[in-house]
Parts: sequence; C-alpha cells; structure tokens
Amino acid sequence: MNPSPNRQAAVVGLFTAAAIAILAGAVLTIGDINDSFTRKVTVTAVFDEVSGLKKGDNIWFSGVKVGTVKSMRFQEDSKVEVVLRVDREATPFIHKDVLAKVGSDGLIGNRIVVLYAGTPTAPTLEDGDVLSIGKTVSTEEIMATLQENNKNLLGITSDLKVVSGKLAAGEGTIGKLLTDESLYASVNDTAATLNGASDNAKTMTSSLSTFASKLNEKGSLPNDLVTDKTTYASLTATVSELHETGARASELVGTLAAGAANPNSPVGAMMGDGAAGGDLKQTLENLNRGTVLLNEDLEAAQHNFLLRGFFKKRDKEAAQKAKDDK
Amino acid sequence: MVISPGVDAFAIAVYESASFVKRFVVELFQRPIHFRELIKQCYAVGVLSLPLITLTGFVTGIVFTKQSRPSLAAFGATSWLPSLITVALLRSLAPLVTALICAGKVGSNIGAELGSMKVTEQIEAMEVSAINPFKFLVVSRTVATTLMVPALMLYCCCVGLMGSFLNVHGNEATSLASFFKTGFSTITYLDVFASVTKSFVFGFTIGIISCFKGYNASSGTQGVGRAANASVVLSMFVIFIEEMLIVQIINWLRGF
Repeated sequence: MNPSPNRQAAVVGLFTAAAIAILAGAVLTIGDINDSFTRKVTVTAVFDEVSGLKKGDNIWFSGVKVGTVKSMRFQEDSKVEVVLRVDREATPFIHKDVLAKVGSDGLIGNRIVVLYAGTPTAPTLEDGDVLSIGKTVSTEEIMATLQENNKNLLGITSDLKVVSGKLAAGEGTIGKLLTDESLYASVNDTAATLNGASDNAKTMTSSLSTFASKLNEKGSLPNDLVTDKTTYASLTATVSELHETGARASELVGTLAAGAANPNSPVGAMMGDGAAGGDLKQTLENLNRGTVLLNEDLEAAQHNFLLRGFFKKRDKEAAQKAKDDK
Repeated sequence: MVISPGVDAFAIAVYESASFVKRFVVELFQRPIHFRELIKQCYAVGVLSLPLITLTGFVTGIVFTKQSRPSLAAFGATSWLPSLITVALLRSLAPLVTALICAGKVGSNIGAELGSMKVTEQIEAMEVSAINPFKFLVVSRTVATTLMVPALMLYCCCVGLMGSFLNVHGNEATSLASFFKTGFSTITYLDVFASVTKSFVFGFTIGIISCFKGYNASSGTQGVGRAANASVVLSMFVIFIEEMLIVQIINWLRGF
C-alpha cells in the first residue's frame, strides 16, 4: 500500500536533498583537491620541452603540492611557456630565484612541475614572475644511458664469448692448461720434483737441526768451537804459529833458492854445476858395484867351513819348528 | 506505400516519436502542472528504486574493485585502485548501471501501466473527463524519470564507492578520507557535470520511450506485454547509443 501523498512528497524531498548533498560533496571534494577555493598567484616558466606535461598537472615544492598548471602555449622559438598557478599561502616560502623543472610523481606516474632551490635572502614569489629553469633528467636521457650500458654489456659478453671459445678450443696459456695433457704431465712432474726438493729440504732441515743440537751439546768440538773461549784462543794461537812457521818456511825456501842460485855453495853446486852432478853419479855407481861385490863375498863366507855349521844348525831348527806347527 | 513497407514504417515511427517528443516539450511548459502526480511518480521512480540501486551499486563497486586488483597488483599499483574505481564509477559505471536498472524496473512499469490504460480505454476516458491525459500521464512520468535518474546515479556512485572502499580498506587499511582524496584527485568538475547531464538524458530517454510505447499500445492485453517489453529493450538500446555519443562530446570538451 502506497503512503499518503504528503508522506510521499516528504520522502521524495529527502531523497532529492540527499542527492543534492552527494553532488555538493563531490563538487567540494574536487574543489578541495584542486584548490579551487584558494587564492593563487600566477607565474610562468619557459621550458625547452615539457615531457607530456598537461593542463591541471600538479606543482610540487619540497614534496608538497602547491598549485597546478593553468595553461601551456608555444613560443616563437619552439619553447613552451607554462603558466603556473601557485597557492598564495605557499608563496611566503617560495623565493623569486626558485628553479622549475618537469618531473614525475612516480616511476610511471603523472608529470609534475617541481619547484626547488631558491635562496632565503631573495624576495618571495609574486604574481607575474618568470621562473628560471632547472636541469631535468628526462626518461629519454635515462634510456640513452641505459642504451649505452647495453652496448658496453654487449661488448663485454662478446669478448667473454671469444675468450671462452678460445678456452674451449685449448688456445692460449689458460686454454692449454685446461686441455693439454702434456702440460698437465709436465706440471705434475714439476710438482713431483718440487715434492722431492721439499723432502730434501726437510732432510736438510733435520740435519741442520741435529747439527744445531750437537752444536748445543757441551763438550763437543763444535760446541767448544762456538762456546769455549780457551779453545778459540788455542786455535788462534795455533793458527798464529802456523802462520809464523809458514813465514819461516818461506824464508828457508828463499835462502835455499838463494843458495841454489850461488854455484859456489854446496846446494848451488849440486843443482847448478854439471861436473859435480857427474861426479856424484859416478860415486853412486861405484857404491852400487861395491855393494854387489860385498854380497858375493858374504855368500862365499857362508860356505866357509868355519861358518857352515852355524847355518846348518839354523836350517834344522827352522825345519823342526815348521814341523811342530803342522 | 512510398518506398517499401519496412522503410515507410520506420519513417512513420520516427515521425511519431518526434511528434511525441515535441508534444512533451510543448505541454511541459503549459499549465496546469500536476505537481501531486509528479511527486507520486518521483516516489515510484526514485524512492522505490532505491533498494535495487543500492544493491546493484554496492555490488558493482566491490566486484569492480576485486576484479581490478590483480591487474594493478601485477605492477604494484594497488594504491591507484581508488582513482581507478572513482573514475570508472563516476564517469561511466554509475550512470550506465542506474539507467539500465531504471530502464528495466521503471521503463517496464510505465510501459505496462500506460499500455493497459490505453487498451482498457482509460486514456480516452480521461479525455472525456476534461483531463489532458498526455499532460497527466506522460509529462509527469517523463519529468519524474528525468529528475530521479540523476539523483539515483549520484546515490549509486556513492554506494559503489563505499563498496569499493570496503574492499580497499580490507586489503590496504586505507582510511575513508585518504580513499576519497586519492579517488577524487583525478576527477574534474567536467566529469561530474558530464555524468549528471548524461543521467538527465538517460532519465528522459527512459521516461519518453516507455511513455511512447505505453501510450501507443494496441492489440489488447498482448499489446500491453509488447509495450512493456519494447519500453525496456528500446530504452536500453538508446541509452547505449547516447552513452557513446555523450562520451565523444565530453572528450571533445575535455580538450578545452
């Protein structure tokens, strides 16, 4: 059953009021977000290019939204003049020498105009000011750098490909090291030799150790040599005496040489006079002959009857002794 | 027959429709104004459609958010959900959903009501009673749909955004203020103006087509069914055509 006409009218009125309230809410929200109800100052900035900036995009100062882009128009030299509407509330903090650049509110976000820098001593922003332009790193520049990196990467991988190809083919020192069996054997032999050398060194070290221990053993010659000052003194004295003896021997040899050089001295006569040498030789021959003759005489004496009994008796005793030994 | 039966029939239908609209415009500004009937129709169109619009708007908001989430989450942009949903709902979904629901509920109602009045000769009876049936029936109903559909659209958008907020809050713990602030950051006055205008056009379309079909119903009770059916189908069809045209106009306006 339908309500009374008056009730219907009231409900329809409420419903319409609610709809108007929603509409007003939406308008106010948009107005609040777009700062439609705040006073603005209008400034301009001339950019070489604006990277897709459009009317209504935000203006940021120190990361805070302070206005919007009002309009854009080309200038004669293909530059773009951007008209910015900045909240009057923010202008006491923005100075005339502030720089403007086109940025982005995220990696894939909307374009924004970023106001930055500015010196505190400069006057604050006013209506009609023309802002200076800061350096912008555009996506194209980032892409260009990335492209350059890609080329370098390509070069590096190409070189690596060549190197790894050579390695696989066994070219070059490292390639041979990887693939050549003889090189491996050689290295193995070298290692074995080094191992042997190491063993020898070990043995030597051991010997040195033993020697060192002996060196430390008291009473031994090396220890005495190293530690006993008396022995060292004796040795020094001996060496000194040897030195003296050598000097004397040298002096004697010098004297002998002088003697040999003098033909009138006995030594000089022996060594230098040929006639004296011949006499000496004759004397020696005569002596030798005399000895032979004496030997014959003694043989004959053994067979003399006076001495024969003695020799026979000695032979018998010798024969008897040999028999007893058997 | 001028060209062919089909073409002739189409031309006559266009003429009759144009005459009907012309008559509506003429009689809209003529006295008397049946204010009480207008309120009654506004109540029927607006208030009685509220539950259906609430449910549809809420479901649209929450489902659209849920379905959009994976696509945005794929590149870590779920923080863009409020803007996306607000743009989608305010610019397109809310006007369209409201218009289609009203075309189904209100259009069929008007078509069947006027159709049955026509076939039972109640309209002729009104004429006899010195009441302008066009003024009383058609103008009041068409004005009611024209006024109420924009109101329902705003309500649908609000409920849809609340549904979306529930989902976003459940996932990202976003506050209501932040949700609306982010959502409306990409909305302009033009969007609101366009949506409201669109809804006025859709409301008028639903009212005028349903009244036309009902007012010109014939062939007894079968004609009533046909009138109700044709009201809904033709209203929806024309709504989509208008949506397409209005979007083009708005995008053209956006360039200024």
